Order: sequence, then C-alpha cells, then structure tokens
Amino acid sequence: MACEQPVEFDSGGLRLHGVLYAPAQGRGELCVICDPFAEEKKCAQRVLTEMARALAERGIAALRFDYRGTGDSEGSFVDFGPEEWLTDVLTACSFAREQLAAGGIGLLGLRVGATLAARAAESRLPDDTPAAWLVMWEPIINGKRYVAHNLQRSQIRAMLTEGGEFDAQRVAEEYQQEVVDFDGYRLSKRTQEQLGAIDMLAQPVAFEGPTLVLNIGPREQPGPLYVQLAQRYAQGRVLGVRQEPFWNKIGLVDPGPAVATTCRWLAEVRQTMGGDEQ
Amino acid sequence: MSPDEIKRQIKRMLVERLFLDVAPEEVADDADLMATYGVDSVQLFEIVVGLEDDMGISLEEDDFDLQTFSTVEGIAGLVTRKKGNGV
Repeated sequence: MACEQPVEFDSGGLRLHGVLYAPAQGRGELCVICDPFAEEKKCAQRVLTEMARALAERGIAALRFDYRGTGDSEGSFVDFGPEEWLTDVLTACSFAREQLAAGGIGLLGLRVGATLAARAAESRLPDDTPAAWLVMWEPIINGKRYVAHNLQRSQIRAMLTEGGEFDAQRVAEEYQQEVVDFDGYRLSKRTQEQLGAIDMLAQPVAFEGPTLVLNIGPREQPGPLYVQLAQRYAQGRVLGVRQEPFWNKIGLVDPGPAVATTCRWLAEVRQTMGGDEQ
Repeated sequence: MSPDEIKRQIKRMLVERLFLDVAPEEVADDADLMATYGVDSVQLFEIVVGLEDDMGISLEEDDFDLQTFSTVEGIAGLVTRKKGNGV
C-alpha cells in the first residue's frame, strides 16, 4: 500500500512543507509536482493530491510541497516570486532524491507551476541528470497576458461587489502600485514583473525528454498556443481534455480527465523507456 | 456578421465555456445570466477570455459594466460596438 508522509526541507534558509507519496512498489521513479500559487493553488489542491496518489498507485513516488511564503512553508508571500520558487523546485528534487534514492525525476506542474517545471527541466537536476519527463498542465505561456487577465479578474470582482461605486479605471490604477492585491494575496511589483516576463514561445528550449502539454478547458482540441509550445520540444506532445478550469473553481471538482489523460501518456512514455508499466 | 449571428455565437460560447447543461438556443437573449445560470465572477472571467479568444475582442477598462455582462443582448451590444470600432 502506498504511504503518504508529511516532510520538511530547507530551501534558501526557510523550512518548506511537503507531502511525500511513496508507492508500495516501484523502480525508483519520482515526480516533483509544482503547484500554481495564490488562489489557483487553493482551488487545485484536491486535483493535485489525486494526481500524486495516481502516480504512487502506478509505482512512481511523488512530492508535493509549498513554495516559500505559501501554504505551510515559512516566509511571507509578498517577499517571494517565481525566481525563488524555481530554486525551491530544484531543492525539492534534491530532497526527494535523497529521501527515496530515486532514479529518474519527472516534473509535473499546473499554471505557473507548469512554467516553473519547464524552467527546472532546462536545468540540471541533482547528480547533474536531466529530468526524465515533463508534464505541463495549462502552463502560463505568455506572462503579459496572465498579468492582464488577473487585472481583468479584479475588475470583474469589483464590478460585482461595488455596484454603483465600481470604477474600472481606479482598479487599473491600484494595479500599478508597489504591492497589489492579487485575489487577496499581496503581490510585489518585482513578482509581477517576473510573471510578466514569461514568454515560453520565445525562450530557448533545451530539454529533450518526453514532454506533455495538456490544455484543460472547454474543448478537447488543444488551442494553437499549446500546439506551438509542444512543437518547440523535441519529444513534445499536446493533448486537450474537456474539463472545467478547476484551478479557478470553488467547490467540488472532478479530477478525472486531466489525471487519467496524464496517466495514459505516462504509461506510454514508461513503455517506450523500457519500463514495466504497472 | 449579423446581430442574430453574433448572439448565436455568444450563446454557443457561453454554453461551451461555462459548461452549461442547456442547448445554446435555449438561452434567451434577455435572460439574466447571474440569476438564471448562476454565473459568478469566475465564469464572467471565462466569458471575457472567450470574447478574446473566440471573437477577437480586446476589452478595455471602460468595457467592464455589469449591465453589459448580465445578458446575451448586452454582450452582443459590446461585441457589435467593438467590431464596429475595428477592435
């Protein structure tokens, strides 16, 4: 039977909290799961837990953890952003490998987590090895658009709650301040700039391992940006699943389609790699 | 594109993106989307993304108005205005 164990490890002098999902049997494979952040992280909690459990059931250990300043980890949210969280991902890979004496490390991320996973895959992981595989669920492909969308979400919320007092221009001006309200999270200008600088279609891609880009939304046909992104990877594949954007949704969600599609893809990858898919 | 075709396209987009359990043609032009379908802020955002992705509309601050986003008719008016402005 798989075992779930809370763990702690240090990154940048801060204690990070995580959960390690160890399979009952396996061959030393490991997946580090990279969460999104802020409200998307809260909404995606259950689906990512289900994904970790599905991996463990298939003999792949999984580590989920909270970036510094998020969840149960130390630090203040406003002080950190993608650059520090990328360090946390790489530290998590080292920690998990030490704990499990794992062989290949795969990376799976959602939204900003997917973008971080892609960047981590460009780095050398512990023991100077490349990532075994990369799964990106709804990656943030264009950071400018992501930041603009978050402003629009703030405007929509204000529109619904402020009634006659609503002033879209005021909301936009508030977004220019040093620290902005990002779904109730205090986001620094620096983090906004780091997010805005993301451009996955412009940044060079060196990772050559199996890569899945999963477009989760109203259509099974993946959108053109996701197709373009997958084409940049030597072994890139793009798939679409019809599933509500659970990272935005309050309430019960069905983790099924994204988890099942990812597990099917992984089974194919493991077979190709010569493993005994369980 | 005629006003009726714009409304049809918006209804298709709403049903698809909001995972509504109704046929697009069942959505009335003047039905209050929040009262009738429980549309919330998250779903309103999905509508905004749908207008951008499916209909090529870019929204600006002045476009965010509750009246506009309450009905298919309101959204169609916005699309017509933006298309007319070449946006």
